[in-house]
Amino acid sequence: MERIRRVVVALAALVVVAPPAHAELTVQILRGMAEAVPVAIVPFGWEGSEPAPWDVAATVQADLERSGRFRALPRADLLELPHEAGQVDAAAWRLLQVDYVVVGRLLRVDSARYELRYELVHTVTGERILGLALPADRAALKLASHRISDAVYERILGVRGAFATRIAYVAVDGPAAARSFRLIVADADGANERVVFSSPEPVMSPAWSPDGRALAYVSFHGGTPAIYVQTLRTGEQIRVSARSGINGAPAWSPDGSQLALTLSRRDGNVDIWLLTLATQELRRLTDDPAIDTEPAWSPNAQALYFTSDRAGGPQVYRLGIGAGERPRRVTFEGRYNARPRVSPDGRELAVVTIDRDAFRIAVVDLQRGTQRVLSNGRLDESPSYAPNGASLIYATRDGGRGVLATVSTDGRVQQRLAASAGAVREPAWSPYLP
Amino acid sequence: MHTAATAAAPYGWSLGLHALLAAALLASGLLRPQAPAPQPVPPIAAAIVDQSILQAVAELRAAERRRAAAERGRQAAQRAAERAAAQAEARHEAQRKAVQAEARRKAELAAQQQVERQARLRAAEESRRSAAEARQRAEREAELQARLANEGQRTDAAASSLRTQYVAAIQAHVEQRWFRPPGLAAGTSCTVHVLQIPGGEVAGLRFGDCGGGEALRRSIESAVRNASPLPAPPEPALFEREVRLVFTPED
Repeated sequence: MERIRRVVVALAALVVVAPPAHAELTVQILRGMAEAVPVAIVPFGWEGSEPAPWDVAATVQADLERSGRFRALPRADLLELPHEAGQVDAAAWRLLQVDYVVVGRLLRVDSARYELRYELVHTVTGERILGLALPADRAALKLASHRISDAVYERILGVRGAFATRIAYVAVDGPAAARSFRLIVADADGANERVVFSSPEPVMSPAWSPDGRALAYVSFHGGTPAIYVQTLRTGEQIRVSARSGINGAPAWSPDGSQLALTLSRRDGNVDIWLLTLATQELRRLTDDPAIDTEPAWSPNAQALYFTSDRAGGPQVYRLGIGAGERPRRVTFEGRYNARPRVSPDGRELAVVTIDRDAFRIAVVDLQRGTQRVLSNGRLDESPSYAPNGASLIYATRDGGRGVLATVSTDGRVQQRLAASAGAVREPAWSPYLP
Repeated sequence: MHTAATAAAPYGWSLGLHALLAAALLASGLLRPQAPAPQPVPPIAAAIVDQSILQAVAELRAAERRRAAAERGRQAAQRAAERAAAQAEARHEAQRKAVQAEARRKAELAAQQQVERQARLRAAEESRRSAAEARQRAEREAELQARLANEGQRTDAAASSLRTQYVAAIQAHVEQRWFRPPGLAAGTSCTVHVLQIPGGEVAGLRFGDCGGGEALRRSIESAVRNASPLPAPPEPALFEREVRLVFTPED
């Protein structure tokens, strides 16, 4: 009987696997029209007399929905509340048109420590495609929830999520005569704002170190612009460049050992320089009577992209790091392209461009040279890539007030980030954090 | 007809000449002066016959003989004339018959020729017509063939257009259910063979060449399973048990 069944199975397999006898109907699928992957995030099980210390499922659901790439079944529509994959009736969830179900439990390990166990079920096949346990103390439950979002996002979309990351930005408050500038770090969803540095003098150009532990930025609090590196955990601030003239636009090399800077030195010629942090060794990278500024590293550290008005209007140029390299212009569409940022895969450049008389965020395909505008504001500026390259954060205006917005790099999903107060500008998205 | 009249003319002359000849012969016989009828001769009663009587008798007998001879000659001539006339008449008749026969023959010949000519004409006409018909038939045939071919093509075209419709319907149906994962490398392509049962229900799928990762495959499997049942073909004959879906994301 067993053998017969095996033969039948083999035959069935043949039917499926055998090449077609005649011209097969071939259909090209060119576009994904589905707006978002339908998912259900079931509230995590909690066995305790007191209420659960954190609603993990709510955080995961908010993350996934905010990405614009997922559509979560409202909690009220959940028919069952399974807490492990074995309890998931895939067929029933398919009837609810849910492709993936996240289930899990929050467990107390001891008075301060917890464990998050979760699983991801693909209802289409009934397969359990993810199952992990994360330890977390009470304060880290939110971060751990974001990590679950990251893992689910990656498992389904094939791209690492960037929910457990942070953003840095500058907030400006107060009347013109008594303004205060604050450098703020917050979670990627805008929550948990924390002031890193504040000054009555301008603070500009925050840049994350590649390890996510420090920020470099420009501050005028000494009266003239200088570049500082501040370690986030300790708050320790080191002045790394206070040369005469302009000290601006710091950009960390991918290995974190160097900063590319904009300096004017004594002659007032604004060029790009390379500063080795450990030795304070300075090397000139550009030497042009025009203004060269806003350097950005390619991920492989082989090149810098920067803004220059050497051809008249501001455009973006590429300079190989090797000796004897000469800058090569890479943006050609429109009369204004500035403030480049290189995508994590090195294939694209986010820039500020003038599109129909408005400053907007555009992405330049470095291989094809094509450019596509992603934002639709009037004064959009300072684009910064999420570490997964799936979206960009940038500054825009809302009723005259500076606010932050994100846009997916395919242009499909746009979000506004609520800021507590004042005007915010110059956002910088952190790398993946340890 | 003109040819027949011309051919008959010499026979006309010959006919006239013979008539004249026959008339002359008849006239010569008829105009010959008639001899006086002979006197009856008394029987001889005396044994002694006077010499003068004997003379007279001899003269009478001689005259009788001459008269008889003349009569015989006249009769002979008459018979000859009659015979000649009869012969002439016979000849004439023969002539006439011959002429008639000839004429008839000619007429028959002409008729025959006419018939033959007409036959030939008919044949020619026939062949011309049949040639024309053949040509027309050929043309019609060709036209028909062309039309058939055309219709065949139209049918093919119609079928192909229906097939295109079918393909487009499946494409739209699957695309609406496909969530394309972000960050796919340009030129990524993934082929999946979908087995459907009549009614469009997806009975199975198997991946062919697939340049994407697990997330892409999962997104495709979800799209295909969620697309079940696939749209029905516009004509049942277009149904294919196996459908090849080639996912080639475009920017």
